[in-house]
Amino acid sequence: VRQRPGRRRAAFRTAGRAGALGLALGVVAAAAVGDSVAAQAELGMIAQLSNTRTQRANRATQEQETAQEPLVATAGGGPMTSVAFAPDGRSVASSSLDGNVYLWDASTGERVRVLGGHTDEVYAVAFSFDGRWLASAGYDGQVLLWDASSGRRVRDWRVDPWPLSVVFSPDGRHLLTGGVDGRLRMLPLNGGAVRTLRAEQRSALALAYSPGGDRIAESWSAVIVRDAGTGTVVDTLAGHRFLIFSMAFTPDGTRLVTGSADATIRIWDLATGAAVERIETRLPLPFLAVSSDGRWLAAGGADYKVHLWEMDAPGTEGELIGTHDRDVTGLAFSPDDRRLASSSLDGGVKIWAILP
Amino acid sequence: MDARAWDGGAVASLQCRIAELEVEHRRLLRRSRGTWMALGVLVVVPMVTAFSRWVGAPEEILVVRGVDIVDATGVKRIELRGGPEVTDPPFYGRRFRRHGSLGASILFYDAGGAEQGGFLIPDRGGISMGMDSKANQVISISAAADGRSMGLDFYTTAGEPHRASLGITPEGPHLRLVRNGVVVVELPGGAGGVAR
Repeated sequence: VRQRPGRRRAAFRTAGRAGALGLALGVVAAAAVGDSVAAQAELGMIAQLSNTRTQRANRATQEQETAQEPLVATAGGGPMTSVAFAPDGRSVASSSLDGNVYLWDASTGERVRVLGGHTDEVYAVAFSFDGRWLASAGYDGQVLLWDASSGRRVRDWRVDPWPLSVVFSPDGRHLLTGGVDGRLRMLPLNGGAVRTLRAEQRSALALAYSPGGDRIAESWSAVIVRDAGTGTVVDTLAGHRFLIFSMAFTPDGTRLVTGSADATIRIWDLATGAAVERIETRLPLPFLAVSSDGRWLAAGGADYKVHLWEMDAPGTEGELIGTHDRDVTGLAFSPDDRRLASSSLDGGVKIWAILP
Repeated sequence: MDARAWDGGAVASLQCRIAELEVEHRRLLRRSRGTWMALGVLVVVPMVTAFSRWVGAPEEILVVRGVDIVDATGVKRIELRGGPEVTDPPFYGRRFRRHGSLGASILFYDAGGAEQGGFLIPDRGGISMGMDSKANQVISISAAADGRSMGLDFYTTAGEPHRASLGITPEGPHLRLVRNGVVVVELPGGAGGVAR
């Protein structure tokens, strides 16, 4: 039975209280030391000192309750632009502006493999649903297919001018790339011709397949929903004021969650094409992920932080999970939804505990 | 042999040795002069030449097509370009196609490498300045090459859709204020319509 976020908060709060108790004892001890000194000082100064200490202790306690240390933090590698969890949950892949794709051990954070082959910045990385393949796409116009276990480069395609996104089709038959020219390209994994879908917007910034594989969503400032078989446009979801950097279908395929640089996250009802929920954030949090059970929504972006919402109550203030030192650029839940991986331009990939 | 006779012989021997050493010394001096001259040719002359070039540097002009200035972490913060070789703008690490006319430019980037604005002088003339939010331009100032058209534009890309535009065209000056997507002021002209 999965714990609800309320229980998750309570579990983490217990750990937080232990820390808070330590802090409180520290404050008492500090106050005791302060009293001996303060005996020679004016009462007003003592009160001011005590008040400042209490405020500091309160702030520290609050921060301890809201933020957490990552389970794993990687080191080495350039600024990261995306992250993906392997289907077996054992490893995490990330793409980097240094032109490499990195494979990390999800338990230890150790670098397992560096996949070199791109000649410029890499923007997207994705695992196939069976975990056998890994795909990457970047500014050099290359889409590379790797054997995820050996790191061997298996195939490569040239996409002109360059792709911004790449995903595997749920049936594992092809890769789908979103080009900076707005065109979608289906790259067959088992040979055959590349199929190109006409551009509907300036660029295809983010891509997502519906869980059943019958719909494709692509984004720029609006979301275009296509029939995956024919490529025809079946719906347009307009409302965001600026670029949509990431999208995720809910597991039942009835809703789509979009993260935009307009500082809103919207949840769309695909039956009506209307935005049924809207989360406004202080700074844009355009990178998001939805857990495989559809209960949680994680988002990050310009405030360098990773936030978590309960999908049933997205209007409430999200919970702070942790922080990076630069923009968050990608999020991915582990297959069991117990962990969350985040990539950042600070050059790190961090894995956070979602359930204790 | 008495001491004086011994001394005389020794002195003569020493004088002879001193003479030999003086000859050797003069020979070594000649050789060292030659060595120093060779060293002067091989080392000193190039150094003096380089130094004289360095001294003369402030009077010279560095001619390049572009300059990238990076911060201590290697992130490009300023980009100078003398022509249309302007790089595609990166936002959240991803590069998008730069649209519009290209030309000489000075572009500024934040610590994460995202473009934050700059100046552009298109090859077709005119000048424009843009200032960006995290992932889009929010202020633009431009002047056309004809000297009769110019504009100033502020617009939000997050939150409510507000916009303030002030400009001059050959038809005359105009002002337009948009609040929440609705035109609240338009001069000359009416107000109250939905902003396009």
